[in-house]
Amino acid sequence: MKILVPVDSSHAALAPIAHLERLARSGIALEVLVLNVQPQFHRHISQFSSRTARDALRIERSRAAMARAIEALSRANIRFRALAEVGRPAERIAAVAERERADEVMVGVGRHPEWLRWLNPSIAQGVMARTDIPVTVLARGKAGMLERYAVPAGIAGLAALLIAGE
Amino acid sequence: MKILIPVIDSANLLAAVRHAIRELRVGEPLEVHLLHVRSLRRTDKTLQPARELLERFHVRYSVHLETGDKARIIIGMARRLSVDRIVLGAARQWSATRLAEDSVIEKVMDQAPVPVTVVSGRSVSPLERYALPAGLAAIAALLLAAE
Repeated sequence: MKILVPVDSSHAALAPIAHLERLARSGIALEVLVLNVQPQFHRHISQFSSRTARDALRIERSRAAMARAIEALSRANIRFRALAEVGRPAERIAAVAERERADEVMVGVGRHPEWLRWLNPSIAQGVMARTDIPVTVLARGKAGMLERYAVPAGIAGLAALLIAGE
Repeated sequence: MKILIPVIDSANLLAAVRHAIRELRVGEPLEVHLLHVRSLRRTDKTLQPARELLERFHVRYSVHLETGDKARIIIGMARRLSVDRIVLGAARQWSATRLAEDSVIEKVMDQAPVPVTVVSGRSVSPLERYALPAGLAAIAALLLAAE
C-alpha cells in the first residue's frame, strides 16, 4: 500500500507516522512517501538572491521538516522515500499523489475553531478538492482558548466600539 | 478493526464501503457500522446496496439510524462505539453535492477522535443530475419568456 504523507515542521503533521507504525505492526506492507512542500519565494527576494542560495535554503528547510518523520519511519522499519517540492502545498501534494499513484494521502492537522477554518481552509480540504485519491485526516491537539474565544470576542468588541463611536 | 461509515452522500456510500473492505487484506477482523442520519426516523433503502456488498464479503456489520445534527451524531457515535476509523464517501470534487457536504466533512475531520478518511466517489446525486439542470433550464425559460 503506497501512502503519501505530507509533512511540515509542525507537531500535528507527524500524526500519520504513529498511525502508520500501528498499520505496519498489524502486517500491512507499506511504502511511504514523505513529502515536504516549500513555498516559492516572493519575487523581491528572488530578485536579490541567487537561485543556488534559494535552493540551498529550501533543501535545508525540507530536511529539517522531514527529519522527525524519517527518523520515526526508519526506527519502525517502514520502507519510505523522501520527496521535496516547491509551490502551493495542496496543489503539489495532489499532483505528487497522482504522479506516484498513491493509494492514500494521510495528513496530520491541528484542531482549530470553525471560524478560523472558514477563513483559512485546511490543506487537507485543498488536496481533496484536487484529487479523487482517498485522503485520511488525523487531527491532533485542541483548539486554544485564545483562538476559540478571545479572538472572536476581541473582534466583536472592536466592532461594537467602532459602531458606538459613530 | 472497527470502522464507522456514515452516510454523507448516499450516491457515494459504496465508495466508502469498498474502501473499508480493502482493510480486510490486513487479516484483522473487520467490523463495520453503517450510520444514517436523517431528518425523519424511518427505515429506507439507501443502505441496501452497502449491506449487500458487506454481506458478499462476509463482513460483520450493524446499522444505526439517527436523527439530528449530522456532524455531532457522527462524532458522538465514533466515541460511543470506540471505532478505529471513520470512512466518508463524498461526491466528486467541484460538484454542487460536494459543496453541500463540505461543512459536515470539515466538522467531522476537525473534531473526530480517530482518523477520518474521505473517499471521493464518481457518482452525483439524482438531485444534482436531474433536478439542478431542470431547475436551471426552467429559470432560463422563465427569463426568456419574460423578455
